[in-house]
Amino acid sequence: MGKALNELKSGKLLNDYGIPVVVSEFLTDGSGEAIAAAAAKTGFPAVMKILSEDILHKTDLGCVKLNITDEAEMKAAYEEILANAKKGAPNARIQGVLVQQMLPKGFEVLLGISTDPQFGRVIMVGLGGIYVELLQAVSLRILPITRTDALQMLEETPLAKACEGLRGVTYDREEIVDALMNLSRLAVSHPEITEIDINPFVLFGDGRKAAGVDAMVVCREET
Amino acid sequence: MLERLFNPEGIAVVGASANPSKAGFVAIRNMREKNYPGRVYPVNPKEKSILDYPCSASLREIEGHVDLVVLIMPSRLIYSVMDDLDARMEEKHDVRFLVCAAADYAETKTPEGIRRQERLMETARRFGIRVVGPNCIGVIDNRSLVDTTFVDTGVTFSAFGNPTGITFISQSGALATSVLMEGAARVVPVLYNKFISIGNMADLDFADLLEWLAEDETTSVIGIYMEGYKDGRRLAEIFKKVTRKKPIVVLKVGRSSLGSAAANSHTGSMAGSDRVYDAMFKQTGAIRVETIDELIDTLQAFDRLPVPKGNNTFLYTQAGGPGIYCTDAISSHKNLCMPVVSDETKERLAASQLPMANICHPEGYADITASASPKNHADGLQIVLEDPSVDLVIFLTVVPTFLPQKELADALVAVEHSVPAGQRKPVFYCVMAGAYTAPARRILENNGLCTFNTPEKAVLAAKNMCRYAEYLSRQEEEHGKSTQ
Repeated sequence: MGKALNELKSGKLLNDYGIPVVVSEFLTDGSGEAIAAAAAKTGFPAVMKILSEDILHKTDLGCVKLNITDEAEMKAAYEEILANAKKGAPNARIQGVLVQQMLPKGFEVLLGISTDPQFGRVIMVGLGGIYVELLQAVSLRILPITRTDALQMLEETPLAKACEGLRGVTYDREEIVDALMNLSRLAVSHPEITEIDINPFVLFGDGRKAAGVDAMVVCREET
Repeated sequence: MLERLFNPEGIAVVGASANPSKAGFVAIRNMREKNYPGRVYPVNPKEKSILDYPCSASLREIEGHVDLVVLIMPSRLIYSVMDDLDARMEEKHDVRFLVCAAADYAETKTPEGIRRQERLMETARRFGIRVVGPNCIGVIDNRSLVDTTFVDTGVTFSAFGNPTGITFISQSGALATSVLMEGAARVVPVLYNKFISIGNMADLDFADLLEWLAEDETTSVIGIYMEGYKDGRRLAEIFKKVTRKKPIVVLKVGRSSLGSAAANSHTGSMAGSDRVYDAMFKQTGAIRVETIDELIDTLQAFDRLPVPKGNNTFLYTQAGGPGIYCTDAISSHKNLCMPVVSDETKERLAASQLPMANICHPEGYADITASASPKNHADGLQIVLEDPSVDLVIFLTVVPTFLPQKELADALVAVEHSVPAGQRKPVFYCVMAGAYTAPARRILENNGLCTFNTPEKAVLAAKNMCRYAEYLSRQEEEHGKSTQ
């Protein structure tokens, strides 16, 4: 296992390679100035969640707050999240609270990189959100990939069909293809990366740009 | 580099036996039956000769030139046999290849097994001898008539057809044996071009063989049975190189986690995630098959038929039920589609058939009915093949008792032979009705055509060829882009 970059660093690296990930701000104090500065960058509505490597199921512990509409709510949520974390996971190391722009519901895709012991790094795409484990509707390829590989990957999952139209909404498959190509390029230029997980990468059928919401990058530990 | 492995000047067999129930006898017998033109030297201190080949007491005592040494003796004897080989090499420097057939080497993961393999490799490294195995059935070349295996297919050598272009590499000796036997049991027994069982891959492995076979002119297609390979990246690179020149068809096991655990303890190779192998095959143009039948069918199709230009599949049937059954099979493969032929083709087709024939309902489908004569069969096939929107044809017939088989088969062969070389399209002949239709199938097969006994087998082979065709055109496209 390697060393995980935190969500802030992960997001920045992905954005640098043209993979859109929503803007995150990081709070370590709940003062009025800090709240105002974060809110100015993310806008409302916002989502807040605990930043801690030790807490995996944030929602279960009450460490995620959705649909925050003003600074007062943001301040209250900050205190509540920290309190819930201390109560639910007293031994967890806590770095702070993350504030993100809250995206409307969209079509959720999983994008990622992982490492196979024999073939090295592979790239994957599939149905995102809560269906990942249930359906295992994921396609993978050895890095690097070509555009045709990316298109074939979509065909191997329900994504190609879903993009053509899901309950009257169509999604732009090129957004997924671009993200895959950029992810492949990112991994090739960063051989130290062993794992990337973007879940969900959300597509909107209304002209808004797709964006990754939760992103994690893991690097090889230096020996 | 491997030339002398497949075409050795002299072969010594250590562990040769005069007892017909022993592997060390069958290997000698196979060479005798095939009439291998080089010298065979059985090594056996107790016998004078085996099947008229004079025996030697040790490797060192063989006077003639030996390119290849086959080891079939029990593995515990490896130490003295290698000492003997060391002595020979110091005097004669002649042996270039070792085929170690016996098991009970490093695959057992016991200290003694590992030590035996190490002893074998010590001599090999010292004298630059390349090793096949251990834990394998050895090597066959049906052009130079070498056969170091101890497999008895139950079919006499003279009953086989001409050597095909099919070369097969197997990580398992027993599976290799089944592929040999299944091939031998076909209406026209399949004579493989080259056949290599690589076992533990102590030295020669998939990568070495594939690199060499890519350049081997007698190999038109390569079949592989694979459990796993340590360096996935290297394998992928070699696959990519080879598939540019000739197709690779792979039967890879270990899809299930239990299967994969079984593979780990079998040839001692570590099996990676099967899903990554699957991805690698797609990215390198290797065709993955699921069963031994599909493997042999696909290898034969690649060996005999031109690669289709596209995936437009016309289903030309003489029977309704099997036609519908086959339509379902075609529809189950996303990469096959049934084309709309021209109005002219439809008119010509209708004119060539009995009035009750169903012409293109649905599109890309014709049912010429059980009353069709050999001439109806052949004329219609010719017309379908001439339509530019047809890339390949699946031809279905059940051969009713009132349809003369020889006349039918001859007429079909005549159609195929009338097409100028270079314009040939692949036709997958499914001749149903089991043993009864063997005479028709034999005529077709002996004329270089490809026959199947059920529609789904014909469709699978067609689908696999289309996959390869798609890969090649995709490579061309991407290559075109990158050089612009």
